[in-house]
Amino acid sequence: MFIRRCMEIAGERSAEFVEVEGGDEVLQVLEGGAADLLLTDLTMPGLDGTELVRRIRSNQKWQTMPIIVITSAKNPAKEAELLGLGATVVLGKPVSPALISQALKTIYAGEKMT
Amino acid sequence: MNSDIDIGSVLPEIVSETFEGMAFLEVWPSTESIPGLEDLQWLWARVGVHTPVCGVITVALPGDLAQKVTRQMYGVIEEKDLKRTVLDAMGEIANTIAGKLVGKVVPEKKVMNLGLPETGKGFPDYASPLTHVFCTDEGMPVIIAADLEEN
Repeated sequence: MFIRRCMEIAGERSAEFVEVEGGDEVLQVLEGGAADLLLTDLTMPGLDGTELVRRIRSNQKWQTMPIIVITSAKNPAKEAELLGLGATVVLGKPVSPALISQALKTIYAGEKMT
Repeated sequence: MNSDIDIGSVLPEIVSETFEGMAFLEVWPSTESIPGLEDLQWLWARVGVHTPVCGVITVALPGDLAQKVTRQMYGVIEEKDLKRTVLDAMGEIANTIAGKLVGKVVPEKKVMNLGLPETGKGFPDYASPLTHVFCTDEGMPVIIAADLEEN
């Protein structure tokens, strides 16, 4: 919820959000249709963020979908692990609208965001 | 664990940054004892730390303050969603403080793993040296208990 609130403040009010509880549900949603971007916490019930990134990147259909992982456990070692698995950006908590906005600009460099 | 770092010395900055960054609230260590702590309606959230050190970080707020923090974080909240949202906010705060604290006390090359936040009601047993009492600018107490040790 907090991440969604940050997204809205960052100007992403027109985006369609699909919020789920854990990694297993993320995979179900992705199987059910395309998504432009995944923002995920690292620690979740069931399938956690690390395993989620690994499974998404092992599927050909989701190779290019940007993944932003948000975690309170961010340090250089954790960031390297997640980027190595295929995460696009790793943000440490607390996130803010400005941090998310910057991450989106990085991902969609050159594209209009609002 | 880097034994050169005293948790009590790094916690104030972490707590202050977290509450200011997430809820626009000023919080600092309480310099005076606050009477009647046990009479307040407390909510708590705790996060287990699994690696590279182990332990538990607990954050406790009086219910009124927890609601204020939640509204600061999320804006307008429908009454039917309030209880769930307050607990979600408490978990986010505990998770953030735990991550920042563990990040300070362990080497950067070690991967951290934290558990899912748990939440509950009541005044936890905080009569220990692991407990740190903070205060908002309106005089509301915030209690943090940090129990970390080598794996």
